[in-house]
Amino acid sequence: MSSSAPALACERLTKRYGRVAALRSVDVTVGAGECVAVFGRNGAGKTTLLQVAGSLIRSFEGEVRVFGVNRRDAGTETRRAVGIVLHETCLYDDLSALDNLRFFARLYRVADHEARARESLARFDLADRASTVVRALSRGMKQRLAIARALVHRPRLLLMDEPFTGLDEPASQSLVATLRAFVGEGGAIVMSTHDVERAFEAATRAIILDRGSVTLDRSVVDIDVKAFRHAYWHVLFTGASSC
Amino acid sequence: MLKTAGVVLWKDLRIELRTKDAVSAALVFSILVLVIFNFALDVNTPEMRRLAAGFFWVAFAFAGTLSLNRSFALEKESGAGRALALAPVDPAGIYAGKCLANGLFLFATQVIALPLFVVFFDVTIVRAWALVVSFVLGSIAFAATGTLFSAIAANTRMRELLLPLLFLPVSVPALIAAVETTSFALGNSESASFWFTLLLVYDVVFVTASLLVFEYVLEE
Repeated sequence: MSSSAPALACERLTKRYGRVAALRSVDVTVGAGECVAVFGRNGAGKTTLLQVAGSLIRSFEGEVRVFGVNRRDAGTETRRAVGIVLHETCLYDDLSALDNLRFFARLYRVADHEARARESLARFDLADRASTVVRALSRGMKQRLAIARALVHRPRLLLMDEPFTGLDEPASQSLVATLRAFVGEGGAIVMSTHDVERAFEAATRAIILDRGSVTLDRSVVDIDVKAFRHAYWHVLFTGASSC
Repeated sequence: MLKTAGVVLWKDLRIELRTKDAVSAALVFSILVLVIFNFALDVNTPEMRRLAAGFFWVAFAFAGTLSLNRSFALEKESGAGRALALAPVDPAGIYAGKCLANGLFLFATQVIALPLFVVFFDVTIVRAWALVVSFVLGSIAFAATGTLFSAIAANTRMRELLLPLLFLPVSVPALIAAVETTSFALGNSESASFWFTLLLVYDVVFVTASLLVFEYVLEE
């Protein structure tokens, strides 16, 4: 695993479900210190892109490399470098919040797993819910815990599918601060979202996927948020990119 | 592998201690079957007492599938199993942890159901050591195959039906050996060394084979 290689490099990535192509020859490279927000209407291929990058989908065409390692050959070191937040919380409903984090920290061989689990709970404002079973938490709390789970082993690449779903305003602001700090420490993030304003607070780059193809890939510095929102809404409602 | 197995075992035990789903479902079902056998058949005859071990293991085999169905169903809930599958660990460790947990739950079910079995069928435990060995080896046999097939069945829509269809035919040699060794423990035969050996070989073969193939099951 090379530390100088891009965190994620997709070349001519194509994924088909039967006759339907979810991704069509996608080329995306994400380096350390970058936070890429992926936009697109439902079914555009955002989740598929994250699932291929996260090894949840293993049959695809093209090349996907994580820190220089081919995703198909990804060993334990590459897996350890990746954290993933999916639509599902990926938590055990019958375990407490703390036990969930303890379990995943121990699974990832985090040296100080107990301290790290408690620190993660505190970071996401869940310290007072440590012994509450996940089943009894609200949607927003579960989402915060899911993000804490993805970060508990200190990954270098974070893949997030709609991370702001279910979060209230303070929690969203807190997540933006966490993502900025993560990127500031040299981490890389790829997140799918529909929340333009919130994503632009954290992202360094924006990508629009339309019917499996990248129609825009630009640094957020070069983008006027208002114009982008307008163009994105155009994509959402007409399916055609005018960016 | 052992570290991963320990972590997975710890997690499954924590969940079971909280919910008591696996043991209670298997226990209630096995007690119900024993009660039905007790009322449906005249068990207080010498012939029936000779068959008592068979009744016990039949009840346990069906009850065990309930417990084993639950094993990977809880990994499917909220997608936790996907996070488990993505972890940088040896898949064999995940299998070993789940298998140990299932074996413990099955053994606990047998131990709790045993007094009722003794009362209902009016049997005497002549060789306690043989009964313990029979239960331990039988639980390992059921857990070894059941854990593997539970993982396969968990990804299907008809998992409650598919698990017994896959698991019970493969378990027949272990079931026969377990009945014979339990029967020996109840004093119905003078020797059961062949059946103990068969049960032990079955355990070794199926645990080893499952450890080797579990990686592919997890990928699917």
